[in-house]
Amino acid sequence: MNINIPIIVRGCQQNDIHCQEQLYKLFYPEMIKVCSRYANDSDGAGTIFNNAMLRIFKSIGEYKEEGKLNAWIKKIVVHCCIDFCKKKVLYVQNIDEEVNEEVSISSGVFNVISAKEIQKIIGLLPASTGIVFNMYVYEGFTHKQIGENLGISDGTSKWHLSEAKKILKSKMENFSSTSTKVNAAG
Amino acid sequence: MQQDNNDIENNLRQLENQQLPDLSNMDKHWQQMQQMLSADIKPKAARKLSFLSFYGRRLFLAAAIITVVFAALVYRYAQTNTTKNSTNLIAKKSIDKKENPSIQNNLQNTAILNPKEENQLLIQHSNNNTVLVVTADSDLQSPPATEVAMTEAEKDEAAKKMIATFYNNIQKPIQEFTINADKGGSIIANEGTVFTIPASAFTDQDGKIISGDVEVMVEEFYKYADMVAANLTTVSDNKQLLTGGMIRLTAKVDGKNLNLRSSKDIKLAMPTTTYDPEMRLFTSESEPANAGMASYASYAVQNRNIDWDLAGQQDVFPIYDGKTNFPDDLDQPYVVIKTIRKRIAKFALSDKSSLTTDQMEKILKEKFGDYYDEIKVKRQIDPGRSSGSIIYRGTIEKENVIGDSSRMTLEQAIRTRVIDKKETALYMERIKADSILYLKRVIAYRFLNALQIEQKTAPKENFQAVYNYTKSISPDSLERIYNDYVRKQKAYSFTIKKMGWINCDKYSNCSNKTNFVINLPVDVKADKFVSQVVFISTHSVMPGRTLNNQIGFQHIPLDAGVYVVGLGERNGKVVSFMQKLRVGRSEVNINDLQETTPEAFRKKIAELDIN
Repeated sequence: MNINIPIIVRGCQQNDIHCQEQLYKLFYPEMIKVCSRYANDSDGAGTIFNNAMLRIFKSIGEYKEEGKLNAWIKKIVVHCCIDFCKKKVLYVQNIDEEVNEEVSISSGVFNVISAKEIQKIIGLLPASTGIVFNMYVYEGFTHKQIGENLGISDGTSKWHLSEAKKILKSKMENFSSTSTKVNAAG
Repeated sequence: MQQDNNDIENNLRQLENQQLPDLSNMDKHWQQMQQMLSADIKPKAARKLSFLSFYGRRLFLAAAIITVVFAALVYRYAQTNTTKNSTNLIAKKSIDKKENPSIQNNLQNTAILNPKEENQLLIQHSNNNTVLVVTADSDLQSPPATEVAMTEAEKDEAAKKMIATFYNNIQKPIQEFTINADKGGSIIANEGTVFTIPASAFTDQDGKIISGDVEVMVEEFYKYADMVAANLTTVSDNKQLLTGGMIRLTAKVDGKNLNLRSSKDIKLAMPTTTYDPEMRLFTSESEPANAGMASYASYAVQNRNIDWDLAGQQDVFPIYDGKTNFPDDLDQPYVVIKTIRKRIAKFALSDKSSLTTDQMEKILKEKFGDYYDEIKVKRQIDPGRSSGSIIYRGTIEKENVIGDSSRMTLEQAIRTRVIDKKETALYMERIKADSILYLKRVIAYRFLNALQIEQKTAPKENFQAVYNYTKSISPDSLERIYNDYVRKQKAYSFTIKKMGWINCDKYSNCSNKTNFVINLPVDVKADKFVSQVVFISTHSVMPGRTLNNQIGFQHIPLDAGVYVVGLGERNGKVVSFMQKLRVGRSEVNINDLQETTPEAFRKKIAELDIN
């Protein structure tokens, strides 16, 4: 498809439904993956993405930074994801426990597990732990930023991350011992 | 440890990047979005109002209304006094001055990019008579666009663009895999196609061998719905082909497409539930894999017209070549290491030997002590592997094999005096045993491959099943097993020499063929339609060609049960038809053209796979 981003953006600024559709479908594949990490199902992911796109269409008139559309949209989508989770998880408890233990997962495990299976495992994490894990690992937030967004301390964020890794490690290693994956290079 | 943590996160991110998005609900979500948009749009200033009190909002609304009325009056005044303004928004007026719909209200219009001017957006009205042309550098504060009539050429161009967009919206997502080019690897695609890519298989356009990560893209077309959506047909030089599936394989690095090295080939297994030994490999140069990106950008789907070329046979069941390994150089070491001070000879001792390595070393020292300073003997399951060849030892169980072997036929062995004539019977027995063992191994390999295709993974149980299966094979039942295996074959195996389009087909042997045309309603143009004839009882799709204002189908088997499927443009809308018929009449009238959407059309053509 012939895609000219500036034209689509201008069309969206004029509330042109076709340009809005183009922008929506252009970013859907990449962003729905982000939303799916925070929602339990496809409907939840769709709701987050639609809320984010509504925000985007409302504020696209303010969009000025040429060439940074992707980052701008992703930022809004991630914030919508966090808002969505905040609504579901009423509060994220502060934990005083010190995190000293580092968790490592054998790299071989990653050869026998697919992204979909990992997402399933992440979906089984306690809600607040899952949010912190996603924000840190996939969105690149620092513990300080996570703390500010979720209203928890840096230490609590670190604890959740460590807890998530521990659970992931046990589930992934458990998974890898019961199956062998062939679809891998080498 | 910090490194470990980074690795975990990198591994997780890499896996995430490899995951394909689920686009199955995109249209449903977009419909929900449209509802949200129609209920809540353009409140740019609304957020700033949030801090205002209830009364403050009312006051603000009143002020806003006054401002709008005032602005409208000023605007009207300006319009009456100014015939031309300096706007960049190119605005042309419609022939029909009675209608003057605003952009916002025209949700049924079609917006497309002008094919001639990339920076223009055409907004075509539903009545197909008017068009708004908006330039990219238009001043957004300028007065609204007006309308002009489209010329016939512009209408044709717009229709083509609309159909192209429609086709793009019904394509399956391309599957992407990442492999290390230095190591090669296996890929199992979503519908069971298996690719085995050797190490260092790719070169760039300059012939330079690629190393590091390579993105491999796979598109699979086994179902009618996918073939029709991709406008793929099964014709070779106007001859009908019956297909076992079509594949498109491309690889790229840094966005640039790669070629397969001439010395390398990719093993391909295409799954089937109805194995046909007559299937052959067909490829096409119509859309070379190295032409641009692996997208439809350069080859619009509706213009696709692939003429398949016969490119090879199936990788048939390997036939044993009648050769075996003769220990001709029975006493030769498999490697001799020469240093400044000494020569070290290394011998391999078969695990079937009753001698210990020390005993053999003693024998060899007596024999070769003058030649080598040091002699080492290593017990190996398969001595031949030391030199890279594979030895199938067959039934010869107790033999003191040392060193390397040569693979040759019995006749060659006798002629070169590797063995004595009186040993012929012994080696004939070995060749027979080797051939059985070889066949067993091949069966085991194919059996394992079939299990993997079915389950997409190779759990330990598969290997156990293969072991049990091969254990049960006796020499006298080998032929029966072979025939049975072929009958149950689960995949077509091919060796492919280049990237791009691959089709598994055979020629149709039907001799009684005919031609027919379909007549479309008079208000549409046949050249704005893409159509195919889809066969019900055989797996084949043939293209329709525009003849005057009809669509013609040539060389179609008489009496075949088929569907004629078409997609085209009528009054600025995408319409489609799908009609079941038995080939016999020379003309078929299509009266029922239905306006369609990508979702509706996909749903409709999905029925082709049910019948």
